[in-house]
Amino acid sequence: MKVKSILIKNFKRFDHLEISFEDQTLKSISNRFLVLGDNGTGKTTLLQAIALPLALATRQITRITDFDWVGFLPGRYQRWGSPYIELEVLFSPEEIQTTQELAQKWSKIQPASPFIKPGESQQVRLILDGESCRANSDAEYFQFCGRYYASKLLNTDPKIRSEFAKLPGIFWFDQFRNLGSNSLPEENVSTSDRDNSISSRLSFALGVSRLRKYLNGWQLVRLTRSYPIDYLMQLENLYKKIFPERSFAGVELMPGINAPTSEDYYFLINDGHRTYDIVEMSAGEQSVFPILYEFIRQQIAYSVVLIDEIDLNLHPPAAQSLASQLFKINSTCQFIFTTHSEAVSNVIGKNNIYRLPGGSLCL
Amino acid sequence: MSVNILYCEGAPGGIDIRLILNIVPKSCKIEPIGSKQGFAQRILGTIDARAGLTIAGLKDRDFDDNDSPPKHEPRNWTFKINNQGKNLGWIWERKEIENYLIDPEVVRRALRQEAHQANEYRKALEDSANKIHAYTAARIALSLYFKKLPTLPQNYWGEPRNETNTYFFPKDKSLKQADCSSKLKKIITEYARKIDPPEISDPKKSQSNILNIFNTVLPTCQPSGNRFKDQNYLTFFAGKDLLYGMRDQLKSFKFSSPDNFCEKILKGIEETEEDVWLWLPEWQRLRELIASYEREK
Repeated sequence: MKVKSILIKNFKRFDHLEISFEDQTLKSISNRFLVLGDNGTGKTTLLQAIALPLALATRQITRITDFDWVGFLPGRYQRWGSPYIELEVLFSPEEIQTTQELAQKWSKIQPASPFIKPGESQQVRLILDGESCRANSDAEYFQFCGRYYASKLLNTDPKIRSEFAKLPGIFWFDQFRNLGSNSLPEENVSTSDRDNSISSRLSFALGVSRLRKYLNGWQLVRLTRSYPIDYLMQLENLYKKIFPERSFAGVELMPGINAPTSEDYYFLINDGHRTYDIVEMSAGEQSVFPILYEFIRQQIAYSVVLIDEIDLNLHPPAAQSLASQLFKINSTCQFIFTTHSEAVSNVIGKNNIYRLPGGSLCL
Repeated sequence: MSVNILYCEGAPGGIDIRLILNIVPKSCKIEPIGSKQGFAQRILGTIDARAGLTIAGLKDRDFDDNDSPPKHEPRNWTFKINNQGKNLGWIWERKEIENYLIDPEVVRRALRQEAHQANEYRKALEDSANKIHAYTAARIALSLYFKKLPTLPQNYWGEPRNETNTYFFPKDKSLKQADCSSKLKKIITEYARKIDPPEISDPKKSQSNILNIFNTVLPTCQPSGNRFKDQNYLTFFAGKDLLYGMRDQLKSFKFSSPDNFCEKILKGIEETEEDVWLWLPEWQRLRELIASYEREK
């Protein structure tokens, strides 16, 4: 799915804001859209306004209070009256078809629940009005739920994992991202499962431990050839696109461990001279790695991906490279991101930039 | 040693930087410098101000008097200071950045064309080159004639053809040799009247001089000439003119405008997982030169 436009009323600092994400030269939805603005003009708020209704519609969250974005306070959501957010969202035929097929499978193992077949509208208006989120019809609203069905079916059918790459989703990476902020333990879990994971934000060590478990697990899978897909190779390929001189260098047992589990190994990177563990990554690497990792782990495609401060802690050429590599990470996704970096804004075409009003023009 | 900062022509978000970003090594930061006016001085100033960094520039070739066959590599850009040549970077071998975007090989790969589409495009491009050959010769003649005059008049004419009124192109019926000759004479007369430079003390003689240049350049721009044959128009003709010259064919290929066509090629370049610098020998060579560039002490 891709967001064609947004209308925001009464949401945090915005009284009224309308933005189109269409590229006027190509006459199509922009896949890579940059939001510019001074500090305090609402760049992060705009990303939150996109994420919130989509997170509700995709069932990543079921209540406003579940919305997990540092800097969003549910208690102040209605501070300036009842917020209203309207998104025009486009779906591709492949996403629609896969969502319908998974909904059908899900209904078969949930015979007691009434089945509503997801619709097949290529354009859906999604409205968040106060606490209520809706589309024109239930069928259209259920078009957003593909990843929810897949995550439920995954419990009983591991083959479903490959379907995630054909389903719409919403993913966001805030300006506080680091190795510890991988907040979802499984692909788009439901809210009840998610409650346990939110605390990972509070603990860098817990987040890193979870990350090690996955990475080292993938390493084991590679060594034993026990799964047909090499996720580690996919991740390494992405990583090398941004940091071309680096490579993955295997694992190393932590000292003093007698009966090690997958979390007890360092996961090593090679910089061409020496190896270092993921915790020893530079701040710039730590801001990029979680994005790449989630792309592989959650098989992100056909999704809206929001990245706040894309240049976070990155050297200008690396920031420029990351912005240019987004298309190559997955061309079916729509990336909407913010920056204060001239190196980044220089490489985005003027038809794909929105500058929030206010402040002084220096980018 | 690799270039740390590469300055290029064009605006932020423009075609130049977006294309070059896909060609140069990732360790190189690219900065658009805007207009080419004072480009060399701006690089020199930055080199002075940021000692320790390896800084270079990459500029368009524009029109010149050299019609020798392309070597498929950028030329060295040297600038004279105190009678000594200083390396500033490179000059594209082709006239301007659009000359690369419209290259049939680039178009084929960026748009993932089938063979028959590629053949149709190649023909449209060649037809366009044929259509604009006299106009191109006239533009080259103007550039050569006015190269050393203080205020260069525009080396083009016609109607504004883009939203920002920065690109001009004549009506198709005014592209013939006779139309171009009379336009050249008119431009000389206008220039002499407005500027009154000492170099044009006798407008009649100047008209004759520029027509002599035009008549010398024209055969090189005709289909059998050095600037045309073997697809050399991709090097010597203006890419923007070649694009605009095939606007009707582009519409029949379902591109709403030359800008729309360019943007789709750029998008194809930005989205491909291929190593774009391998698409053209000159791009590959530029990448090598940037990666191994030695800063002058």
